[in-house]
Amino acid sequence: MTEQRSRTVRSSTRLPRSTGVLAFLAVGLMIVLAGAVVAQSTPRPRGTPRASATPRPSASPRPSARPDPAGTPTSTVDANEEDRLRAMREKARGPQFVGEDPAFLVLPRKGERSQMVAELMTPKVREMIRKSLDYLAAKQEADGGYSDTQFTSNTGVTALACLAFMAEGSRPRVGKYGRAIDRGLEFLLKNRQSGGVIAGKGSNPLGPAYENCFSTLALIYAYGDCPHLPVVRDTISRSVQAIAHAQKLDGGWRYDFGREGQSDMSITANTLWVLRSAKKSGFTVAADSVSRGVEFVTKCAMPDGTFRYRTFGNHAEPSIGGTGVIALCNNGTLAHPLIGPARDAISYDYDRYTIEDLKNRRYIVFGIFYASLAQYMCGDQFNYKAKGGEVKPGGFIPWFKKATAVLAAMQRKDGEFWDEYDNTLYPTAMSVIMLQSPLGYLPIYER
Amino acid sequence: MPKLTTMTSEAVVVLLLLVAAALVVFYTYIYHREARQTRRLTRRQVWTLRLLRVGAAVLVIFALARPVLTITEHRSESPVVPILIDGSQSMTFDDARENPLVRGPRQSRYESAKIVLDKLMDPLIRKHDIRLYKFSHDLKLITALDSRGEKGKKIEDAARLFPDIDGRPDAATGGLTDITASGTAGLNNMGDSKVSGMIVITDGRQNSGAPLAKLIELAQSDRVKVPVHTVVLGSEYPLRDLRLDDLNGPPDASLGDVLTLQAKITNDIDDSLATELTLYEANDEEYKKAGTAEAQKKLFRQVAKRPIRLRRGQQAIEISCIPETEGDRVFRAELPVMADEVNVENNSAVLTVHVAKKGLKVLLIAGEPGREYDYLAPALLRDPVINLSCYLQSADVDYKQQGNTNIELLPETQKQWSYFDVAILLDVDPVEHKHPLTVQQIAGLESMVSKGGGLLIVGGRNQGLAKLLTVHALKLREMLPIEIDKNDHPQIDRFYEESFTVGRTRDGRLHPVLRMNGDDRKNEEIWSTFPKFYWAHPAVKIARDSISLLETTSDVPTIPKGRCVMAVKRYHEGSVVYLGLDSVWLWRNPYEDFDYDKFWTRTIRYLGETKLKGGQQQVTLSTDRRSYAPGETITLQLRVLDPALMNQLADQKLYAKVAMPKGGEDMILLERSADGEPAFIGTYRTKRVGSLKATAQHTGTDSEAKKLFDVKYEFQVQHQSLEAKDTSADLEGMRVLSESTGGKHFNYRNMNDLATLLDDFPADPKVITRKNPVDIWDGLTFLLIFLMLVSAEWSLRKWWGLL
Repeated sequence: MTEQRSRTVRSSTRLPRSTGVLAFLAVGLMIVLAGAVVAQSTPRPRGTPRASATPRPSASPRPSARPDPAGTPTSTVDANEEDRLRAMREKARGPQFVGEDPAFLVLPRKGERSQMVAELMTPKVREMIRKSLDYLAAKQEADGGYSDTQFTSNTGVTALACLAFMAEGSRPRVGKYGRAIDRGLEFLLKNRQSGGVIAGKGSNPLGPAYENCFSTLALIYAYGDCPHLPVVRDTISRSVQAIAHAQKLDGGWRYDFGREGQSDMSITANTLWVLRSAKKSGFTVAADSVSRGVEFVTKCAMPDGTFRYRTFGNHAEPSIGGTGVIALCNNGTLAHPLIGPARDAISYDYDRYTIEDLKNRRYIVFGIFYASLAQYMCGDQFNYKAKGGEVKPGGFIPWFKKATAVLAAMQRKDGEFWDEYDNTLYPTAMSVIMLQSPLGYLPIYER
Repeated sequence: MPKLTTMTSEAVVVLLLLVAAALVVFYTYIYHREARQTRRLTRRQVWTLRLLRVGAAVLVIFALARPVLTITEHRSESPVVPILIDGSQSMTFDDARENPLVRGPRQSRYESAKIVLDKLMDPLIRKHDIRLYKFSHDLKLITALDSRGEKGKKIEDAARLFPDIDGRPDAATGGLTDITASGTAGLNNMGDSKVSGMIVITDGRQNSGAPLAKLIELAQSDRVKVPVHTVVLGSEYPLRDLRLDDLNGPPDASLGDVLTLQAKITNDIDDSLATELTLYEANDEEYKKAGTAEAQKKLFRQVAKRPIRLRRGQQAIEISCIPETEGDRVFRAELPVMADEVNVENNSAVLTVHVAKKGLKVLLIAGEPGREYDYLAPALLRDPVINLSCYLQSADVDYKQQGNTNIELLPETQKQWSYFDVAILLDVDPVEHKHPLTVQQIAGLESMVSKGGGLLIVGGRNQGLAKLLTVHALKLREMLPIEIDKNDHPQIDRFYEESFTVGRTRDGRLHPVLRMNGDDRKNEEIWSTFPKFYWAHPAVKIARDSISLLETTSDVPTIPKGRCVMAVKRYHEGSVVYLGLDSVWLWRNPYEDFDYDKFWTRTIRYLGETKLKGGQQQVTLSTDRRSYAPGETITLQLRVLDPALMNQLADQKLYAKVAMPKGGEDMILLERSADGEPAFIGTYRTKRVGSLKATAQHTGTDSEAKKLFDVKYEFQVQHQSLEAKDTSADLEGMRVLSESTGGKHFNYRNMNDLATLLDDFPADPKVITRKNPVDIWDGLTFLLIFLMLVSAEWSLRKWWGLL
């Protein structure tokens, strides 16, 4: 059934092969923030005072028909009484948007020292990570860029590799992979175009929106740690401006940077995510851009709460529904009826299929990468509603173990991962980002 | 056999003999002259007269010699055994369950004493005289029993002989136990009696202050030489009691923030007691208005409960809650009542805390939005006490700065700076950004800190502190707890690919900011799991009056070992923390953001403590208990929570002032704790009763004298029974008493062998020889004989015509 849905997406959008990959990538990206919203949807108990100076989200959290996604930790070393109480209070207060911009989402923290890393980062996983990172480092080209089978000298792949190194804890020029990040950033900067878009010769022929998004994201996360590259700030700024100027008349974004034409949910939500990260890093983003983007997302909404890929047609995917949630989340709306189903669909999917089934699935690496973002944000343990209404235990920890088993079955001798088109670099980058997600060193993983 | 002796001295006897000889001569002369007259008398008559005269003379001389007849008597006497029974209040406490004499689930020590007496009396009375005494602060003879040899009567119930014991509730009412004085009196009372040994039945807890050594010395002396046998009731453990000695906490608390109270609990129940501590809260005004304890209790509502495991003895347990109501609130900590608990009145304690809405206004100024900024801002925003205002220097001109409270521009004037409590300079750029820091702003910052604010300076790789010092050297150099070479800028072109570790210094291990867990062992474990760093800010050395908390502990070419990466300094009323690491976010692994958030929020709270709590709470003043008896030793402890302050106070003399309830003050010298703890200890005694207030304050040594701390603590001195203070039996003291004097010692462990005590009482009677002197001359018979002799001589002479 999943296979069928994948084909439907491709045929309805009529994209070339590479475009489909990136579209899937973007859809998964959307799921990420959906999960974040789920994690925040704990209701505030009655009588709990609101923080008067703190602006609240526009909508109240969704009543918890599901168990609390923050969940009980699998195990704890100790629980300091003060920390526990503060965490309880934060949990009661729920997630907040502090200040005047919903980009600054503050989620409640745990009251106990998590053992998630100890449980998930086994020696085997660490060895998988080491081999993959070494593979990526070895495959970096002389100019700092990366060329995959389908994407020659591509900024998107390079940006993903940089993000993979950052997920290890390295920064530009600092850390084990600091040199590789530094070279990768220089490659990205070399490929900035006069209009502000960061895309090289190997970009998607339909338009460089995805390359630009990932490149901008990598530069934003590197920006505060690369004093030797003063041009980064200007590059991000120009890219953000280019994104703002490319907003189409319907309020969304598409592959190309023209204002004409139809937008799609995937790139729109992906772009809104970049804009959110840019805002957090001190770049001015027009409030109108965001609100119009959100307006486009609402136009894609279906009566049953799912979202269409575009504003026309009737077909909707659970994962695309997640993109809508991300878009709404970026405008300060935390409670949406599609958040739960989006998260549950991922849990159900990975619970239902065997490792062999998942390994042979098309675009499985993309799926794992984006699902990891969503599951991480939803919490270590939660219960999800499977198809048929059965409530089953799920969460990031069981999901991670299953996904790691799939990746372990896929990893080749040199540490690389692959896709059906024999690309190895971006699958490896995405896989190793996911494998390092428990470390929490990359801000895309939020709790 | 009577013996004739004289009461007169030998010289007088010689004189009398001389007188007798003179009389013989005199009588010879007289009779010679009377020879003519006596010729007509017969020879028999002459000799009759001579005999009568000599007899009278002899009697006179004999009387003058005062002859005494001594009659010697010999009598045997049974040896004496004084038995001293403790009649102090502590004897009403339960005896040790392990004592084989205990019948039933509970039995008082006094009842056990009766049983001991029963076991000992009947065998002893056969050959010994017994003196039964009751003692507390003094000795009282209850009864003296002669041995059965004389009485021939069996002791059916020894306890009946001791009426105070038998069923009388006031049997053990003594408010003090003085074994030394009582034992001494008991031995002295024996006089010349042969004492086989003294038995002391007691719980042995002497609280009069008199040393037992005096009694031992007396019993060992040649004059007395009496073994003292001790039968001790109770055990070396205090009676089963779970006691909440004290409830401590800050006088003020922030509304909506965690309030942590410390309960001092004494566990005399079990070696490892699992129980729970419950915290209740009530309105102080209503609490005071409620007349009865029952009415007061109804006002409380439960706000926290935590399971606890207690070892034997006193320990401090923390319990926390989040106050939700403003005003004066009464908090009552309560422990459950345990089975067979000796005192259930001491299972709770109350404390009044003023709850007010307080917060820390924190200004975070960051140069660029590095990874640290990404994680730091949310960490601070989560803290309910912190009201954060972010200011990102590199942000666009029209960028809306974020935080709980948005600001458009950095504060300029001192007044604007005084709005904030804590400022964070996160790798700020003093010149090149659109919003550089001006001299006026730095002056305002300095003013804010010196008036009790806090400053956290994070040296990052983007800007570095050398640049900041180059521009604002005057104020910042004075404030910084580290010395920075202003020419040593971060080398941004260099690669940092080798990792190094950081470790806590000795002061750092004690500092509250770096304590990730209350337990030292766990704390070490947690610190050992933190990842390594790749970059640290250059530093020359630690500044004067500053302490280093963190330093590099491994040597790499880029970063030498021992470089300070975190330091703290007290600056006037405020504090300054330096951090030379720009990637503390690495501590998010392996426990996610738990320790990371904790580190930052604790640092900010530490820096803002003066503003948050109305004064630096870096010290706490307390006593070992909340209530004392007059004359008891009170231990005052001033614990220094901030190693930076400890460093400052290390060589200084500190005093605490104790204010009396009816006026007057005493000064107590507080000396550095001998065990190396960051505390100053002083002892104190008072006989004044009432509520006493201890105050400890210290003023800095600089010319701008500001109070470093000013803490108060209130405790009670009231009359209370010393008997209940320590309910354990002094087995060791009694053992020493017995063994030193050659006696036997019995307690619950060997009470089954009590019968062997009887072997140690020699039954040989004491033979008493008595001499009764009888005066022979001083009697009517002697006088009549003398008169008869004189009268007969005179009458015969008259009769025979000699006169």
